[in-house]
Amino acid sequence: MPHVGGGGGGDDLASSDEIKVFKDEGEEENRSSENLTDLKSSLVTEGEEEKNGQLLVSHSFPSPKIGHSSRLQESLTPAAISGKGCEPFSSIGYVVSPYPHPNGTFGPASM
Amino acid sequence: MWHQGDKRDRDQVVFESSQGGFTQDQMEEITQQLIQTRSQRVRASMFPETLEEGIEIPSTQFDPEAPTAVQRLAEPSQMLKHAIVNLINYQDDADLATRAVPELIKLLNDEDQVVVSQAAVMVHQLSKKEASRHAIMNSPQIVAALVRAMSSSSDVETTRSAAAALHNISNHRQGLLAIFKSGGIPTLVKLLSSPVEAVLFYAVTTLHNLLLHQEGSKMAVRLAGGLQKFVMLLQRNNVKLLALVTDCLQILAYGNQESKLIILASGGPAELLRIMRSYTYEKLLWTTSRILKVLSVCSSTKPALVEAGGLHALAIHLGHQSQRLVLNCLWTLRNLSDAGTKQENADRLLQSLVQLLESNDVNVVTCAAGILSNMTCNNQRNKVVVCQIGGIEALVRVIFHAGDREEITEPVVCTLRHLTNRHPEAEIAQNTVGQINGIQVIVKLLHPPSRWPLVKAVIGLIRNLAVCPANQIPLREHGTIPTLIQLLVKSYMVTQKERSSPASESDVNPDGVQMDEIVENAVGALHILARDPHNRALITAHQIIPIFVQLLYSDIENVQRVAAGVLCEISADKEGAEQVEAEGATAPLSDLLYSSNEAVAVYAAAVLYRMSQGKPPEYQKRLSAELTNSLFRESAPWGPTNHGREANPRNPDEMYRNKMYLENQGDRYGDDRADGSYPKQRPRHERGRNDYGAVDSTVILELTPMVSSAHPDESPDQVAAWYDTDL
Repeated sequence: MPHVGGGGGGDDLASSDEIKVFKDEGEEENRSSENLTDLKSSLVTEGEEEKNGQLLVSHSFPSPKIGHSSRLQESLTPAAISGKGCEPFSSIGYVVSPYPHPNGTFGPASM
Repeated sequence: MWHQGDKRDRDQVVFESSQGGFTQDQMEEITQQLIQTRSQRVRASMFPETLEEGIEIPSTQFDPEAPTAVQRLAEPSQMLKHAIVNLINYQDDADLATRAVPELIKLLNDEDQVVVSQAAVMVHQLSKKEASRHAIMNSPQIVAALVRAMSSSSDVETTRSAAAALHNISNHRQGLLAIFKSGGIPTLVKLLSSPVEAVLFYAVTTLHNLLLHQEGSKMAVRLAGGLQKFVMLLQRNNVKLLALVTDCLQILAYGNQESKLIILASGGPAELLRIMRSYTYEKLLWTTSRILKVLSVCSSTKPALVEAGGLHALAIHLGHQSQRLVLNCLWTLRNLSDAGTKQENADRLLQSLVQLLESNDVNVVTCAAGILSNMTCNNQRNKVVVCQIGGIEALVRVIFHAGDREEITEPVVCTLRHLTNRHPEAEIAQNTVGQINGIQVIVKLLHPPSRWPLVKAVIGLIRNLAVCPANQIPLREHGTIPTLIQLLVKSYMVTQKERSSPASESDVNPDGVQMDEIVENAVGALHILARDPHNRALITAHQIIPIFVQLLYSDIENVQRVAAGVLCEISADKEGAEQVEAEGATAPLSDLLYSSNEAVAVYAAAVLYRMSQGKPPEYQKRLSAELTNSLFRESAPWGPTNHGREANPRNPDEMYRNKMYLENQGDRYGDDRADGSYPKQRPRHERGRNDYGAVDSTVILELTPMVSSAHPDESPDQVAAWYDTDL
C-alpha cells in the first residue's frame, strides 16, 4: 500500500509521524455472495405468503365439484379474474370441465 | 345460452341483410359488434368457464355446415389447455411444454388483458417445474413476451406472475441470458419502485442473480438507474431485503468509481451506517460492511463516511463473533483511518484495536496495527490513550510473535514510533519498551530479511528509544550501532552513485523508500545514541566521521542538521573533536554558520567551538567573534533583533538569557547524562512542537565564554556544560 509521508516532516527529522493511505477494496467475492441463495428463496417465499395471507378464501376457477352458478358468478367477478385476492390455478387440476365439448358448439358447458 | 333456433334466426336476419334487409348503418353496427366480441369468442372457446352467465356473444357462423375459425380453434385450444393442465399435473413431459410455448407466446401478446394475465399465470406455473422451465428458458420469444407483459401491464397479477416466472428462470444460466437479451433489466429496475412487495422481492432477487452471473448486467443496471433505486430501498426495514440490496450495491460499486459517486450523491453512506448501528442480523451487517469497504477506498466517499460517524459505527462490531464481519469492518476502518485522525473520542475504537492485537488471525492483527498507526499519527490524545491501555506492551508482544512477517511488524513498529514521541507520556513509553525487553527484538528487525520500509520505521523507533537513557545500554548491547552504520554506509553509497551516474528507480528507491531518507534517519538515530559516551566512542571507532563530514555538504537542510548534530555530540570528547577537525569539518561548518536554519547554525557553532578548545587564544578569539557575528546577525531568520542589539554586548549573559527565555520552547531533551556531569533536566513543555523546533538555548548559553574573552584554560565543567544538543 502506498505510503504518504507527512505529519510535520519538516521539523522533527528522524521520526516524524507518518500517515499511511490504505486503499484495500478486497477481492471481488462473488463466491461469498452465493451464501445469499437461501436468503433469496426465503425472501420470495415471504413475498408470496404475504400475498396469500391477505386472502380469506382462496378463489380459483370454479371446480367442477362446485357446480353452482352462484359460485361461478362469484369467481367470475372482475376482482377474481384480475387476481386481486385470488389465487388462480392453485387448483388448476380442477379447471378442466368434465363435460365434453362437442365440435362446433361453444359457450359454457352446462354447469 | 345459445340455442340452435336463435342462431338460425340471426343467420337468417343477416342473410336477409345481404339481400338488402339491413341498412348500411345497421350492417356496420353488426360488424362492430362482431369485432368486439372476437376475443370473447376466443375466450369462450378456451376458457368457457370464465364467461359470465347469460352472456350472449354474437355468432359469426353463417353456414351451419361450415364452422367458423374460432369454432375450428375450439378443439385445439381446448387441447392446448388440456395439455398444459396435464403438464402441470404430471410434470415431466418436456415435449408437451415445447409445444405449448408457441401458443403461450401468442396468448401473452394478446390484446385482452385477461388472456394475458391467465397466460402469465400459466407460464409461472410452468416455470416451477424443471422440464417445462427449460422449455421457457430456451425460448427467447416467450421470455421477451414475459418481459413485455411485465413492463406494460397495469394488472398486478400479470406483473407478479411474469416476475415470478422470470425469477424462476434466473436461477439458470440460460434463463439469465434470455432475460438479459430481451431487455429485462430496465424493466426489473423499474419494478424496484413497485408498491407490491412480492413484485419488489422478485425484482431484487432476479437482479441479484443477474448481477452475479450474467455478464453485462452491471452496466445495464447502472444505465437503468439501478443504483439510485437500490439506495432508496435502504430505507426499508426488511433485513433480508436489505441484505440483498446492499449486496447488489456492493457488486455494482466494486472497482467502479462512478457507481461509488452515485451512491454518495444519493445519500448512501448515511443509510448504510444507519444499518450498521441499528441491526443485529449478521448477514446484513456483513453485506453492509462489504459495500462500506468498497466505498471507503474512494477519496470522495471517505470523508463523508468519517463525518457521518463511520468510525464509531464500525467500531461497534469489532467484538462480534463473526470473523468475516470483524475483518470487513477492520478493512473499512483501515481505509478510512487516514481521514479519521482528528476524530474525537476514539477511545472505544482504540480499546478494541489494542484488544484485537492479541488475535490469532494475521489479517486482524495487521489491520488493527495499521489503524492504530494512523490513529496515533500526530494525535497526542490518542497516543496517550493507547499507552494507558497497555498498547505498548501489546504491540511489543506482536513483534515477539510475528517473526519476520513484515506485513505485521511494519505497522506495529510505526505505531510504536508514534507512541514514543511527542506526547506527554512519551518518556514512559520509551522506558516501557526497554523494561519489557523489547529492544532486542526490535533491533533484530534492522537485519534481513527486513525490507526498506520496515528498516526505515525501525530506525525511527530506535532514535526515539535512545532518548531514554536507560535504553542506551541495551541498544548498544544488541549491536545497534554497527548495524546502523552499515545501513548508513549502504544507503549513502547509493545516493552518491545516483549523483554520478543515473541510477534506476529501483536502486534509488528500493521498495519505494528513498535512500536519502535512510541516510537522514540513520544519522539522526546515531545523533541521539551519541549522547552516551560509550556509544560515542564506538561510533568514532567505526570510522564513520568522514561520511558525517561529507553530509555537511548536503543540499538537504535536514541532513545538514543531523550531521552537524552528531558531530556536535562526538566533539564533546577531545579525541572526537580532534578527529572531526582532522576530517576537514571546519570549512563546511563555517559555511553552515550562516545557514538560515537556526539549529544547523547553532550546531555548527558548537562543533567549531569544541574543536577550538586547546587552540591558541588568538584563534579562539577570532572564532568567538565570528560565531557571535553569525549567530546574532541581523539577517538571521531567528530574529536577533528582539534581544540582542540593544543590550550591552559586554553583557552577553543577559543577551543569551533573553534569547533563552524567548526561545526555550518545546525542548524535549534534558535527560541526565550517563556520567552525571551535566545540569539537571529542564522542565518539559508540551507544546506540540518537536525536538528541533527551537534552538537549544543552553547551547547558546555555552557560547557565552567565547563572546567575552575566551580563556584557553576554560574550566572543564564549563566546557562540559555543553549539554545535550538535541536541537
